[in-house]
Amino acid sequence: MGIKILMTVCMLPVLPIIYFVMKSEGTFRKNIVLGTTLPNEAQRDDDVLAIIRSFKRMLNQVGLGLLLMIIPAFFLEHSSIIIAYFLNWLVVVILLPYIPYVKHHNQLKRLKAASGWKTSKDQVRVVDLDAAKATYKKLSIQWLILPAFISLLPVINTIINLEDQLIAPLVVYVTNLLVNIIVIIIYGIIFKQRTEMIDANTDLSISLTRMRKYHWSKFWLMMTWFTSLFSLALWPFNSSQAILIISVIYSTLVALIAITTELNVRNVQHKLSRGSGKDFYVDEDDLWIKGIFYFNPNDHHLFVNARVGFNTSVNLAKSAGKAFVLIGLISMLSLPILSFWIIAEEFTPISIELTDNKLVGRHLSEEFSISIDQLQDIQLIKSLPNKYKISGTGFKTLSKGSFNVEGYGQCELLLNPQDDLFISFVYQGEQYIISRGDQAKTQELYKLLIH
Amino acid sequence: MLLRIDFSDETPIYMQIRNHIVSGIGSGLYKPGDKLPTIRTLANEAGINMMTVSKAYQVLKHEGYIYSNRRSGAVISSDLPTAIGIDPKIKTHLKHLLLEAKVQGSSLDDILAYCKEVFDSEGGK
Repeated sequence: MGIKILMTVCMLPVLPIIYFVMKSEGTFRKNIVLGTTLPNEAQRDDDVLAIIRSFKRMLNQVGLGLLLMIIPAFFLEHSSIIIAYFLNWLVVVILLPYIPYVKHHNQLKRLKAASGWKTSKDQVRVVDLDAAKATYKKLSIQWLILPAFISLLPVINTIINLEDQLIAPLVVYVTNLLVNIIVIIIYGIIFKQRTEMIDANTDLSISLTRMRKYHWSKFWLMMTWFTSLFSLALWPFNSSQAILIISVIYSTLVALIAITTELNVRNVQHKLSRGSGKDFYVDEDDLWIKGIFYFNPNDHHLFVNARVGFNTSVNLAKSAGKAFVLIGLISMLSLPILSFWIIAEEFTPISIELTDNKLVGRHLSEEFSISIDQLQDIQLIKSLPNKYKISGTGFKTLSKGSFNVEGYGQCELLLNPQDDLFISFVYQGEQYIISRGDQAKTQELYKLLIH
Repeated sequence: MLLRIDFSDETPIYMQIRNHIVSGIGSGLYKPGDKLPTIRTLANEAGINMMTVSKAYQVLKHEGYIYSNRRSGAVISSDLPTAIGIDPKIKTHLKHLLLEAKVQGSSLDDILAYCKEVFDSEGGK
């Protein structure tokens, strides 16, 4: 039950996040709705409003369906299947809401062409020279360097005092440090995004731009500080449970401030641009594929303001833009592949054999191959003491990797915790505990090892 | 004022920028002493190379429409170029345009009416 609750707590929040962000695409802001630029008169057009209503209805149905899809997970038994189910559910949650979005975007685009509202010429770029001269307050770099320096401290300390059980936390510290460094590098690039120009109103363009830069600068600042605090919070603890709990808290906080920032920005954009689009308005629809992906070979920018989703998108016309999207796609599609591997982890039987005077332990791949002449202190254990995982795999029927075992300290395990008999031994100063699944087979192996 | 850069137009981008600023001066939207965006800013806004913007500003400076220095950047000149009669370069362009309009069937009255409309717009002499 614990794993079901944990996965639900970690994964379920993604659904309302995506639902509310997608739902707000059905609200006019900057003369754009459902990724389509329309004149002001269209905001009161019956056909447009009908398409928006239909989109929201379909999105509600998709959202409800996705929520109900969680229920079967509570009837599943095996941890790996539960995890696999949630991972695949997550991919579906990310992708499925785009179906009502794309469907209604296409309808709106056809209506736009039929109503003669199409004004864009795809290779024209409009620049407001007066708005371009405006200056905006940029976050001072030292406010970003300081949290990066703080997140460096646990890295240095762990490297100096490195032991096996600190490798997993070290990975987290290094990741956090890299996150902060990347934010320092890209903040300047993202801050230089173009003025938010939606019509000829210079003051409106400046206000929209200033508001966006202000809110997202605040987000980047908070994110770097949360990331360094994440490292500091983890510092006193070494266990994978601590990493998991603190990671969940950190991810939740960052997600919350990202969503709050994006929804605040959208709300202000909606209010400020309410009266826009009556005469001239900027229409760059032809540069956006389905209103989602920006493709403009005449624009040298890599990062652009996103139309759908959070803050920033990439220019697909640039190789780096393609690479970003590809990496994102691969990351997302690797989740179903990962789920197969997790299931294989749980259901593949452990193999421990004596071959050519070597004790070979296998589970999916070779875990160890040890000369039996070097084994020391071989013992038979009738009941496995309490343990907690440092790194590796821990299912009900599989413990593989580094564990802290009561009375034994740090051990390498390859066993089924539900077995009745185990073999412990020391090899090159490292404590091992193994089992063969079957009590008789374990007993047999023990006899072979001691002789 | 809105600058429209048409990437499908045969006119080089630096000339489109130059033409826009000169038109802006002619229509009174840009007045002597008005600052233009920096090269870096305009290049960033338009998503084009800084060299392209730099070339446009160099042409404008050479023609006397703007001046620039480190402190103020590019500024609309108060000492705009003048010509006795019609500038020979403008005459050449105008001749081509008028002949093209004639081939397409535009009447002299329509052309003169349009010329008057442009001249009578704010800032026309």
